[in-house]
Amino acid sequence: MIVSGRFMEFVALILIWVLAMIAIDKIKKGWTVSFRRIAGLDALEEAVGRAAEMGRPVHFTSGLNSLTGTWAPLTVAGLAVFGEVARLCARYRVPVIYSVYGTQVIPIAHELYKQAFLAEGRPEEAKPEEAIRYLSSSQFAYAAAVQGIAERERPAANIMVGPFYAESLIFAETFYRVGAIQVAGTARLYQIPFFAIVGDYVLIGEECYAAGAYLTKDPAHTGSLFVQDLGKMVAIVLGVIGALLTTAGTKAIVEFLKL
Amino acid sequence: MSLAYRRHLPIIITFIMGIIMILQYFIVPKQPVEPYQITMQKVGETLTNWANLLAAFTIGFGMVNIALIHSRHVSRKTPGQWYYSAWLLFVAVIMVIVGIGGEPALGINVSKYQYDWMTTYVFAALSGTMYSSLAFYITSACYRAFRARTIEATALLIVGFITLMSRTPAFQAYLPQVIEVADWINKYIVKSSFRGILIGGALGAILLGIRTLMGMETGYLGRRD
Amino acid sequence: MAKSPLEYIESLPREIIYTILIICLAVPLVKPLGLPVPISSRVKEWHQYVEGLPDGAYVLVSVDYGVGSLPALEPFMVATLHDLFERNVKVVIMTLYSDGPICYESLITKVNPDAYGKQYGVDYVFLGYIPGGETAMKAVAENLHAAVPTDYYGTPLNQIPMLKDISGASDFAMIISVTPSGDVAQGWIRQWVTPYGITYMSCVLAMMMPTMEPYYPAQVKALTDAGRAGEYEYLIGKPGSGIRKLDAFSVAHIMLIIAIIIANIAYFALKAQKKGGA
Repeated sequence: MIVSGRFMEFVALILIWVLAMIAIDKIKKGWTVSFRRIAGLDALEEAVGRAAEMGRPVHFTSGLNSLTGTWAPLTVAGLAVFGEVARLCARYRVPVIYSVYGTQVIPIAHELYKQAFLAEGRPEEAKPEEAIRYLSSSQFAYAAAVQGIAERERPAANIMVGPFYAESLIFAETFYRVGAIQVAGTARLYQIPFFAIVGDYVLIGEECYAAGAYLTKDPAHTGSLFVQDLGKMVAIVLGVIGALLTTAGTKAIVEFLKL
Repeated sequence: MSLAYRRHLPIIITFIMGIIMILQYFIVPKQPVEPYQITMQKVGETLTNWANLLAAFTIGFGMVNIALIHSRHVSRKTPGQWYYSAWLLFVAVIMVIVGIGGEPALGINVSKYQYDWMTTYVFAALSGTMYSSLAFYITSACYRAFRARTIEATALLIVGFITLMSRTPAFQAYLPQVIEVADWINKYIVKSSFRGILIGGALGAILLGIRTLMGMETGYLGRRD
Repeated sequence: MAKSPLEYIESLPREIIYTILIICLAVPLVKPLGLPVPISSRVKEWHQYVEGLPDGAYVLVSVDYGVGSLPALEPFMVATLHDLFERNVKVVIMTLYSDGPICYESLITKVNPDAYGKQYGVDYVFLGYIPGGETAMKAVAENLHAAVPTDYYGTPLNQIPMLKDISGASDFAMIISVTPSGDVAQGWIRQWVTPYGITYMSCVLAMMMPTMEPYYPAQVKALTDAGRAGEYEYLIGKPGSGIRKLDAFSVAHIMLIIAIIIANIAYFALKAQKKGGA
C-alpha cells in the first residue's frame, strides 16, 4: 500500500511520533530532561525590557511568511515567537509593531496579540489595528516599508523569526543603524550567515522550530524537543555507519533507506 | 461559543486534514492506478485548492488593514509619516484603477499600456534598486564584522577573504589557486555544515508538525496554550 | 571626546564606505579597465552542453526570476539565449514568477531573435506565467497542453507549429533554469530530472552554489552562478552588460578586501595601544 521508495520514511515518521508521545507521557509523569538554553529565545525578555527602558517600540517580523508554502512550519514558528513577544510587550507596556508580508497571518496575529493582552490582564490596552501592519506582498516593497518603519519609529528591539530571503540583510543592517538590539532566526540556509554576522542573537534552523515548545515552558512540550535530539543522534549514527560502509564498497544503508 | 467548538473543533479539523495530506504522500504514487489512490489524490488536490482559496480571501484583510492604518495617519497628520501614507494611498488607488482598466480577463483593455508602463518602469525599477542596495549593506556588514577578535572570528575572516578573492575576476586570472581552495572549502566544509543544519531543521519541522497535529502547538490558531 | 585616527578608521562611518563603493563601481562601468576575463570550467561546461544539442532538439528555458533580481540574473539568461538561438534548436520559454513576463519582454528585446532568423511559434515560443511552483513544473512535465492551454499571447498551443506534437517532459532534450530561488532550482530536479532523466542546467545566485553542489553533476549537469555572465558573453563572443560589470566586480571586491585589512590593522593597533597605555 505504501508507495515504493517511501516505506522507510513512513516507518521513521511513525517511530518519531510514537517516541514523541512516549516522551511527553513520561515527562508528564515526572521524568525530567534538561536542555541547553537557547540564548536567542532567552534574550526576548531582555530585548523587550530594553525597549521599555528606552521608551521605544519593539519591531517584529516573520519574514516572507506564508501558511500554504514550503516554509509554512517556519511561519508557524515565527507566530509562536510573536505570541511570546506580544505577551512581554503587554507586560512591560511597550508598543509592538508586527510588519506583515503575507495576508494569511493577519487574523492569527490579531488573535495572538489580543490573547497576549488578555493573559496579562490588560485587554483594554490592546491596539491590534496599530500593532499589526500589513505592508506588502512584494518582497522589496515589503523591505522598503520595513526600512521606513525602522527609520521613522526607531524601535529599540528588532525580532525576526521566519522565512527570510534577500531582504534579511537589508533589515539587519537598517535596524543596526537605528541602534536596535536584534534577535534573528531562520531555517533558510542562505540567510543564516547574514543573521549570524549582524544579529546580536541568532536562532539557527531547528532552534526556530523549537521556539513554540521552549517558550511555553510546558514540560510536556519539551518531550518533543528530546525526540528531536534523539532523531539527530540517529541521523549522525546512520551517517557515520553509511559513510564507512560506502567507503568499504557497500551501499547497504543507502539501499535500506530507499526501501 | 462553547469550549468544545472554540478549542477542540479546530484541533480536530487540523488533525483530520493533516492525516489526509500525510497519507496522500505515502499511498499515492506519481501515476495512481488503484481507485483508492485516485480518490486520495483528488482529495489532496481539493484540500490544496481550498487552502489556496482561503489564502486568496485574506488579501481583503491586507487591503483593509492598509486603508485603515494609512488613512488614520493622514487624518491625524502624524508628523513624519502622513505624507508617505497619503502618497501610498494615492498610488494604490491609481494602480487598482489602472490595473482593472487593463485586465484582459475582465474584457477591459483601456489602460493596459499604462499598467504595463507603471509595472515595468516604476515597480520593476524600484524592486531592482532595492535588491541592488544589498551590495552596500553587505559591504558595511563585512567591514564591521570581519575582525580577528576571537578564533572563530579569525576563521570567518580567513574563509571570507578566500571566498572574496575566488569571486574576484582579477584574482581568478592572476591567482587561480584561490579558486581551488574556495572550491575545497565549499565542497567539504560548507556542504557538510549545510547538510547538518538541514537535517536538524527537517527534524524540527517534523516535530512541529506532530505537535500541531496533536494539538500541542496552537500558534496557528492565534492561541499560545 | 574626539576619536583618534585609529578609532575613526576602525569604525569608519558607513557613508564613507558607501561613497568609496559607489566610486569603485561607477568608474569601471563608465570607463572599462580591460582587466582579464578568465573563463571558468563551469561556464565552459555550460556552453559545451548547449553546443552538444542535436538539431531540432527541444529546450525548455524557465525564466524563474522576478523584476527584483532581473539585474543580477538577466545577463546570464541573455547569453544563454544567444547561445541557443545560434543553433537549430526549438526553445520553449516559460516562467514560474508572476512578474516573469516583464523579465521575458526585457530579455527578448535584448536577444533579438529576428537577428538569428528565428520566428515566433516556429523556433521559439513563450508560454507565459504558469502559477503553482512545483505543481506547475509537474503539470507541464506530465501534459503540456493540459497545463498550458495557450501561450502568453492567447494562441492555443495546438495552433503553434512547434508545439503541436509536444506532450511533456519526455519530448525535451534539456531544461535550463535561471533562478534566485533554491526551492525552484531543486523543484526542477524533483519534477523533471528524477522522473524523466532530462538534462538539467541550473544558474543560481553565487550564495546558493553550496546548496546546489550536492546535486552536481548527477542531477544538475551544468551548475553555475549568474555572476559569470561576463565570462559566458566573452566565450560566445556576444559582449553585453555582464562583461561590462566584471571590471566593477573586481574593483569593488578588491576595495572590500583592502578595507577589511585596514580595519583589522586599525583594530590590532588600537588593542596594542590600549595594552601599552594600561
